[in-house]
Amino acid sequence: MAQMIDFFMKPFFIFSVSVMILGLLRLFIKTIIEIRRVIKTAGDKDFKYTKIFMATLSWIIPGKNTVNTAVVYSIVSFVFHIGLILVPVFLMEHIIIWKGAFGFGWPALGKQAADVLTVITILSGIILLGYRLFSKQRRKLSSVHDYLFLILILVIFISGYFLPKTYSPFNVQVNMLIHIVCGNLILIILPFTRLAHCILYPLLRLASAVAWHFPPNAGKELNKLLYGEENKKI
Amino acid sequence: MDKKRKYPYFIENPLEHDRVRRFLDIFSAILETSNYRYILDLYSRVTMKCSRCASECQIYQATNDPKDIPCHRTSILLKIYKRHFTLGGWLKAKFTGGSGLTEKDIDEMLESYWNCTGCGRCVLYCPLGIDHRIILRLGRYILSEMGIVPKNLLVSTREQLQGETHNSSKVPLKALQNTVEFLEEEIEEIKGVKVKYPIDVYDAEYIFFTPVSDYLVEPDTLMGIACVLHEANISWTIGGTNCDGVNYGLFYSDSILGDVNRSLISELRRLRAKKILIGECGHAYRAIKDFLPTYNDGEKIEVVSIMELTLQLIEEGKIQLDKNVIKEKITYHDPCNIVRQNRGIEEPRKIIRSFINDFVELKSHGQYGLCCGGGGGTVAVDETNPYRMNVAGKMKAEEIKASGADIIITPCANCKKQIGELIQFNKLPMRHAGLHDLIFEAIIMKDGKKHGTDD
Repeated sequence: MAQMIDFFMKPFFIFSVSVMILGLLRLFIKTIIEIRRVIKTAGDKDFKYTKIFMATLSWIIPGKNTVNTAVVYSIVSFVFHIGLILVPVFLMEHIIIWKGAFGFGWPALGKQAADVLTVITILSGIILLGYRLFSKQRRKLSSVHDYLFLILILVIFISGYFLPKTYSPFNVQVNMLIHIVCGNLILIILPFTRLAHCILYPLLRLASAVAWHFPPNAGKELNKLLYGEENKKI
Repeated sequence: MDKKRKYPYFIENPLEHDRVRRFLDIFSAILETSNYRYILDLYSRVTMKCSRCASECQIYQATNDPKDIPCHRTSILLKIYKRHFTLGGWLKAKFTGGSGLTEKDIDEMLESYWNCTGCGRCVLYCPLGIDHRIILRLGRYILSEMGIVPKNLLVSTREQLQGETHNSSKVPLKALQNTVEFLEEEIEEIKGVKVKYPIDVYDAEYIFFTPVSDYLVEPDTLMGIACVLHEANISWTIGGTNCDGVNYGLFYSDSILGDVNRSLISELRRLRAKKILIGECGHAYRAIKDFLPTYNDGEKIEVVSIMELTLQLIEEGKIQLDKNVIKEKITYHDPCNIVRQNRGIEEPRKIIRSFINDFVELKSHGQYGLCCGGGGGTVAVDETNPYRMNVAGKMKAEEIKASGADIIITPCANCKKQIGELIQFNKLPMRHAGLHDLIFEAIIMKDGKKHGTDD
């Protein structure tokens, strides 16, 4: 068991992080290239970049947008995302593992702050899972993946929370194995699933705005392809 | 042989067989000739379907049917795209035996995509910024190329682009001339001033486009606009070959959107006008303002809405409005196609406050205002009236009623029709009007009669 844990904490961790970083980077760069290509072919190349940037920013910073509808759900979701970003990245133990694997680290969160954030993330994750399970509208829209992602995140956070605790209800080594296997798993799947919104978010509003800027001859090209002439009979 | 299908709206020559194959062929052709692939790729990669949009979608709020949640609508097309046009979808189907597009999916889309008014309110509430409108429009585009498009829209567009009259209401030039002559006489009788509706005047400052239906059913709006332009001595003209601002392509077709815009540009060039002036119409404004540059080889043409111009003229002191004419309680409905882009919100309010004493806002207004329930071209589809009254416009009717206003102003031909029908259907004790209808009542013409005098 100890050997397995070592394996998942070092060589496999390096692999998982590499897959995640390269995968996310590929997605980010690919999206930028696509946006540039679409702008090049668009008939109208005039964009209000500042407005789009401000709209993107307004959803990251808590404010009017966070609570303009579905207030409880929105606040819970916001808090969940904060914990989801801060705890994995700034937890002391994670930074130590990172340093062991890659040779450098960064300042960590205080232990108590990390504990509080972990508990908040777990609670908000459970509430979000409850929303998916018990709200008719969300249940109808949710796929198996939506539940699995949330459950996977909850397993990681719950197992992580009990790791250093003396009153852990689980076997410490099993707990550790579950935590690091699931942790590695989520790093690997990030670029290949909808969780990729973590890296694509900053580009989404720009991409949406650009999508409305059509190539001037798209309609005529379609007519030519489908009906053999640019101006089809309506 | 399939039994004849029932469609929720009238369509010409419905395709009865091989719809799945035809849908996929057209989808593939659109992906090849346009830029939709990248946004479909991106959305299908990130959409979390949190359904936050459901809380603010007036269709879903009225039906409580998860099928009406915007992210569900979007997911229908995204699922088809992923399954049939991505390697991942192909592999998944290979290994798990996914069924792919079915007749049932097509039936769901042709109903769902025309049940939604495409108002875009959901976009404002999506944390990820997914623009459901563009997916809705793409879905309609594919269906329309299969021949599945409401007949009213198709027939109007055919007349506008390929008919003799070049307008969506089939109004011949002679009838248009007669109508404006009648309006000129009306203005002279009411205001005591000879006001001209210039047709085919060369080198004017503005060429005026408004839905041609305004000439038939909104005379007061047009009289108000003519008085404003006359009083401020604005040089303008109506195109004799093309005067119609309607562009249903905005709602369902890139091909039509481009062709209508090109026809407007050619009319502007024919008459050597400098700027475009749009009448009271939300979708005409958006179709021209936002999409004209796409079809004009990058050359910029200034596009101004009549509300922007009227406000400018009021602020410059070129027109005067009598504050004592309109005594009723007034409210204002924001057309989605104007305000969703966070524009055109202050101009009408400044105009209203300049001559109306009793103004009350609707509960939802400005950029976040509710749709009238007839947006996205649906108001032109007469057979959907029961749906527009009982579902799409239900929340709007409740909101209008709660305002307690005597008159609801809306500067949009589509919204006017829908709100007029809502008022009638719900027996609300009020009437609707265009902004320039009230301006027509209140405008002080320098050489005209004073308000309330008969001489």
